[in-house]
Amino acid sequence: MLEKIAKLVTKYPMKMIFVGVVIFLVLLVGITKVELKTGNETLIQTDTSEYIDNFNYQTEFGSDPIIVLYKGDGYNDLFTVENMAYMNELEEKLSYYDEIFTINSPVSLVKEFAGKSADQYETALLELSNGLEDVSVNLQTMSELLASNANTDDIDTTLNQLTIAVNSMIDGQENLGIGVTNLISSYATFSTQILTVTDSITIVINDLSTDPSLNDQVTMLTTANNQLISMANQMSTISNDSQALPMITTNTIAGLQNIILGLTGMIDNQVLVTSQIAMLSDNLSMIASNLHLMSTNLLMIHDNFNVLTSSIPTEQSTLDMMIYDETGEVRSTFESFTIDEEYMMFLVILDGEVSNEIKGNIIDTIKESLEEQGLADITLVSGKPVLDMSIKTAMMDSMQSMMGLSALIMIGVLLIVFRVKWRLLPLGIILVAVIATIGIMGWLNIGLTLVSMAVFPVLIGLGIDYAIQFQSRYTEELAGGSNNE
Amino acid sequence: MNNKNNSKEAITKTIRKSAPAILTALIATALGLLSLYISPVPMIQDFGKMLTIGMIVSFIVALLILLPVLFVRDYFFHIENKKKKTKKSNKFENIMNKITKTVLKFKYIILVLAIGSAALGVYYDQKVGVETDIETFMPQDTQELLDIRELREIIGSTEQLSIVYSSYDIYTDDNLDWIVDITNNLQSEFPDEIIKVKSISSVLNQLTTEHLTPNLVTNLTKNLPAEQLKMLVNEDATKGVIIVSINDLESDELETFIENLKIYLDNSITNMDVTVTGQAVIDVEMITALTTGRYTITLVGMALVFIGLLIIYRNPLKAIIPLIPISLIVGWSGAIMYLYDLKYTPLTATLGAMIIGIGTEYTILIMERYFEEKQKTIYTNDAIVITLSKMGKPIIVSALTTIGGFSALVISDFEILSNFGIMTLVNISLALLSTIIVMPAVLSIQGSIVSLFHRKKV
Repeated sequence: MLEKIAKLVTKYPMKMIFVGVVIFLVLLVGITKVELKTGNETLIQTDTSEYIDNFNYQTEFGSDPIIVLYKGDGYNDLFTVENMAYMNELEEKLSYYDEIFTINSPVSLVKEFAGKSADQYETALLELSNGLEDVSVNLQTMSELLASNANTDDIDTTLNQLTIAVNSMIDGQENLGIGVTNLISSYATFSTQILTVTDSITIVINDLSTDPSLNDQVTMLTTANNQLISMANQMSTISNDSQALPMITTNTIAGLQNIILGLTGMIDNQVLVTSQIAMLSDNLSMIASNLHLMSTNLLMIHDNFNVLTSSIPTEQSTLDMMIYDETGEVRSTFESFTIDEEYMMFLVILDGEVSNEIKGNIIDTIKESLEEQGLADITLVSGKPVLDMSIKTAMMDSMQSMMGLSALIMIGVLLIVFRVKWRLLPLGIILVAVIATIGIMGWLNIGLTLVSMAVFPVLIGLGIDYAIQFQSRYTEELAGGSNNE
Repeated sequence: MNNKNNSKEAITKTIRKSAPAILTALIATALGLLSLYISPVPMIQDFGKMLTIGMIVSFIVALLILLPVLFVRDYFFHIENKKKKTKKSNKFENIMNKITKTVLKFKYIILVLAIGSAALGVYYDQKVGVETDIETFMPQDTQELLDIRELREIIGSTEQLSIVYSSYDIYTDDNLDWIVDITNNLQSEFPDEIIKVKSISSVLNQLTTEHLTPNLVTNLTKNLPAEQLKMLVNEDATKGVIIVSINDLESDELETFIENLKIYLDNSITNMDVTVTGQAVIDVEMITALTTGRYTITLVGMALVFIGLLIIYRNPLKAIIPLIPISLIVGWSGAIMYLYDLKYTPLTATLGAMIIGIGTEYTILIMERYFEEKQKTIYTNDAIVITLSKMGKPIIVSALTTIGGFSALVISDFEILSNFGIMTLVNISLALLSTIIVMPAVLSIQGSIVSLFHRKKV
């Protein structure tokens, strides 16, 4: 065996070096397949109950949280509309990561509340619309009645009923006015956003239409785009139409109040002039048609309601209504996100076994977002995943510089102690061996772990021995051999 | 041409003479490292696997690439031999000569002292502590470390355990009572360890003071934010979790606490499946596995090397000799750790196996050369002195290069790595010392025993 190797080396040295280089290149490809493993599967064996329990737990409930801490001076400084908007922005940026199990923060609670009130609002809209329609019909009937029976005796009762009806209408109008204002602005924004999208689609369509083979696709796209545009226009119309709505309600309220005044006066005086009644009838009829129009508009808003996502309040007063209860105390659900009225927490819970790359991206996204918002100084991003990540990256960096350093030290050592020709050759040989080893690990699917990063300096130190032994023995034999002494 | 024949002859001789010794050394090293494979920690297994592969590759590359390169150099390009070098190495050989002769004079004293001190070291090694707090391993001025300490300062805890309970329906009267009971009483049961307990019942208790009944819970949970609920109970209401925030404990304290917590939960009355889990449990499991297994790994390493050598040499004496000087190091290294108040870390715990792998390489090279020299002379001690003076240099060079590689670790700002680096340097120096001082003594005594045998036989 040994003789054969010796013959091989002396007869075909160039071929051996060549074959060696080829094998080395093949192994080099393996390096691209090397995986960095840092999950729990590198810490304990996957068939232990501890591993399985933890795995099941993390699949069901996520893993340890990343905690973002907002510093502030009291609740007033923490639960601000601005902070909520910042948090909301952060939450939206993070929503692109499927690896996040859940995000828990005051703003998600606020949204939850807003979502619930939006539901209630939606139902209320429908009711209001129906109610208005009813009132409108009633008023119309009443107006006709008044006109035809200008001289009836039981006008008192009618008037009284009318007063009550008008009063309840005033209440309804006031409620309506508040809600409608918020809605309108959302519609306008949404419409503009859609139009921006359709603009870009139009550009794409123009580009595509130069290619006749894409005719079908272009037609389909155009149709879809037109639909989008008409939807956006529709929404814009609603928004514009509705601009007047709050005005209408205010006007209507004033009108209604006048009517009540008039009615009351009429009841008191008991003096009824037919012409006045006729005028009242006309007025009522006009209000009725106004109300009918409003009802139709409201119905339209309701039909489009689902395109609106619940948004966070932009008014501090609205937000305060959600945060504080009737007695002015912070609601306990919100309180659980604060510490000593000084800090507010934003928790990001990751799925189990999220890769380092994604984990790092998520942490970076959070930090960058805080930086952009100018909150970097008053926030703290930490938690076990953040610490783990920093250990891992720091260790990788440390390892890389250490591998370089050990090669450098080795040059020094070889220059001093290994006094033969080509004394640095063993270092070259061992570096080839180390790289080949990484390649083999890639082909054999053995992952790189944190501990195996420590392998490289160790391997350089240990493996170089063989090369040195061979080279020094060879030099010794070449110089005359041990037998001659 | 003379030069060409010379190189040809030199290559053949090198391969014939040193390849078997180096191969044996490789096998011994690989076997020692292979003992890391019995570690229950996959990361350490991979470390062992990778080192073993790396060593084998290094051998193959040295044999099949380095030698052809050297051969090509000398065969095709004529190079004159330098004479200077031999003079210097003669000086060195003289020193080694003297050292070895002195050692041989006091071989018994040396052996007794060595074994005695090693035994003492093993005794003190038991008292060496174990560092298991991961946060002490990294550079202490890392921003993230400072951050998490600040966070811990503010919110009290960043560590958490999870008690998972599961049943076909967790919202039955009995189950709810259990959840409420555990949630409310756990903290008073473990006041030193637990900071806060959170579960579905603690959240619902913020909404109502009434006794939780299945109906009430079903109604109340409808009003809870889904994102919050999701962390505590799953959608089908078959699994729930009690999140226990705990103080930052050291691994052994944490282990005891987890044990006690498990016992406490076992004694509570419920039909549900209850498990304690969380990242902390995994960490504890790993760290105990890493540190408690170190004697087993070292012993298995020794056994493997012995068996391997026995198979190669088919001679128990030859199989045990290289192991004697090296096994002493385990004791000495323990003593040094005790003297300098160092603690075992997960990495240094693997040192035993590693030093057996590394150290036996030196002793095997010495032994092989000794038996080679023994062929030429009848005097055991002469053979030993020649061996040491010839092999002393390559071994010191080899140790120095190994130290060179490892010393990069010492400079690392990771304490776990620098600590590992320091201890490997210490161990390799000890291995070198043991090879030069103890190995000749062992060989000489072995020689006398063997010759005694022969005389008796004849």
